[in-house]
Amino acid sequence: MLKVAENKKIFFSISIAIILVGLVFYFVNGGLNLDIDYIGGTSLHLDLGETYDVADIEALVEETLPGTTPRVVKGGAEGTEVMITVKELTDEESTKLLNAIREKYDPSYNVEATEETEEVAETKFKVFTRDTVSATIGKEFGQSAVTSAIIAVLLMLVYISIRFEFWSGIAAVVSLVHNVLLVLSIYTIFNLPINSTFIASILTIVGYTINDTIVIFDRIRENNRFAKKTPFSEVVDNSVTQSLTRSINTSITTLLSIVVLYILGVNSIKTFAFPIIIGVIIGTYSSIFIASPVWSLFKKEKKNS
Amino acid sequence: MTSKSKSLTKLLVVVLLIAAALYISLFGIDGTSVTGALKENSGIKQGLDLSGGSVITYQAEVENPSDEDMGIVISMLRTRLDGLGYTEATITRQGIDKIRIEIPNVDDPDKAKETIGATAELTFRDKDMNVLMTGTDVKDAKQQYGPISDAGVSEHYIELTLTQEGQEKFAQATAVVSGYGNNENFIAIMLDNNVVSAPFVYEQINSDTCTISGSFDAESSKYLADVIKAGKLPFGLQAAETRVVGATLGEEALKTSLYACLIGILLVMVFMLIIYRLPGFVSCIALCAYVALMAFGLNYFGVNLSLPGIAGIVLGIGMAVDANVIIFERVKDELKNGKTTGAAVDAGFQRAFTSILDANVTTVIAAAVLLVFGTGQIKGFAITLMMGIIASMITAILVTRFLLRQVIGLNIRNPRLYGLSAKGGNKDA
Repeated sequence: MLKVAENKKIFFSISIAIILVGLVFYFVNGGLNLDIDYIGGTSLHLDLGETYDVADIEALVEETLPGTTPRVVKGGAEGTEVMITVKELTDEESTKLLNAIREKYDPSYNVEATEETEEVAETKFKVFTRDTVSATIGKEFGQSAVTSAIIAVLLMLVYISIRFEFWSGIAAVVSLVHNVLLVLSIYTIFNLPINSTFIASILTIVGYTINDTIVIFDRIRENNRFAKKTPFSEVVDNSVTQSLTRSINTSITTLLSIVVLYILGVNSIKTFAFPIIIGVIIGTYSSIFIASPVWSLFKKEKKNS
Repeated sequence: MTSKSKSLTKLLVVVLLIAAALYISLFGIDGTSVTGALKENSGIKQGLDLSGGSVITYQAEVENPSDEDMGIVISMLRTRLDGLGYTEATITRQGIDKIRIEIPNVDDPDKAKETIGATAELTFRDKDMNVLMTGTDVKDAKQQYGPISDAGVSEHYIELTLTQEGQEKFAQATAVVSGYGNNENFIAIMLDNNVVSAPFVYEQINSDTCTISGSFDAESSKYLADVIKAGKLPFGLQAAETRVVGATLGEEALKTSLYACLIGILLVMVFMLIIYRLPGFVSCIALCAYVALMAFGLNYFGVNLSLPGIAGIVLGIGMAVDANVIIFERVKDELKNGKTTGAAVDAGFQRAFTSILDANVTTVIAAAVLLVFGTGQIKGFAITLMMGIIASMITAILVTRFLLRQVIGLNIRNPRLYGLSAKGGNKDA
């Protein structure tokens, strides 16, 4: 039998350790790596069609638009893709920058005759995305994401409290917060940019974790009804063990479809699918090793007091 | 008919129905208006992050603009976008003071932004394109309905209220224009370079109001009134967000994702067959029903499928299968406890139901909040997730249960077929 409630200290420690490492990196990196979605700015995602030096691009940006302090990140399977992030640019500036890069890396590019040659030019040079977000709207995006998350959590808390009991609601929320912190830690440790992709991953985690957790909670509720004399922690362990096959099988089926999406999908889908894969794994982990033990922890404390 | 053949008939009918629904939902019926989700033009709409294009979000430069003013601005933008040839562009109001414009397949929004950003210029011109009046001479424009002259019939027209200066100019202009020859005595009302209307003038008009009549209906007269008012844009617009997705990114995105979804579903089916055998097979049929429902739903509601939307669908598949996994695990438990196959299936469904319901309701709560409070991308995720949960509740519970009952009706009751290992197998009583 799985002794998750009994060994809860081990699982709690593992999670706290990861979150602490994340916190260390938070200070090392000087905060979260917020993307332009939340702080405003301009970003260009290009495929140059050839390998390049990051320093060259940085120099080119500085030369074209002095004082913009670009952040250049290499990407793509062959290292030909580039993500350039700079402060918010006007339309003219961003076009100027794009043209400067084209002139250097796109041999078929001719500034004077773009209109005519656009169709003809057989080139590996590709513009994936070109985004500009103003700082004010970026802030609003961030706020609305946080507000809706808080409202969602509160409403779920109410529902779970009614259908189960208050402490199980708290346990579900604790495991949700735990998951969000865990993903944040992973993002800070690897210094991944926090953008709308990140939000998608958080949403997936919220949805998946809750679904997964409630099923186990339902088992606990049911078993607890028939086992009045058994200690609650034992009921929890029993229930987690009984529903373990289901937890694993469900994760496998969900992961199957998302991993296929990751393998076959185009680039933007890959960057999207990856955090969701992380989300499903963390969601499964927490519903087994965090949510249920936390419930038994709270329940015990309640009985003692 | 014996009960066995009754079950067989029911089983076959439902399976055939699901197969037909699946085919129609994906490919449509040729030669009819029933269109399939995978049809190139009439199928599922792609969001801009999949198809490529530009998204511009404008912010009003005043605080708390009125609904009326926002409506005027939106109709103004519509006119200008149409004028540029971007007839496929969509304009939606976001929140109180934002307008979101999506232009598919355009990866250079600079031209659009230049035109949109400029203040619309309303002019009244004569046959030689001389400017007689401009938008600043018009105080207000209203859509009206009723007889214009005492003996006339009721019709739709636009009533303009002019400023003091406008009234003088208008009197002068109408005096001159009405003197022109036949078919030249018109005043062209133009928005930028487009002629919106060119009413004929038969006499001098000296009044602070004037009417534009013609073959208008309620819609076109309201449109013209809005456009004339739009010439006097109530407030400035500032581009707060511009996103461009290159066509190269979009081209294959939807196809490969749908392809990936299908392969994913097939893998899930294989998994379910191996682990749960007969019920697993039944869940595969239910999954087909799920795909059909989702395809119908996405198509029918005209959901713009974006990347987060695909994530929602994948999550939905996971939850649809999850419901069946929960049920089948319960059935196995009941079989282990020594119940007969039929009783085990019934009990399994009954006991699994509360957990499936609670799990799905909590997820629906989350999705609903995101739908109400979220913006753009987050909404797309919430919509497909919500549809997925509803579809999965229908298929994973109702369809699976119905089919499994018929299978038991066929007297296929060997517990090993229901996923029980040989060791734990109880002979059916």
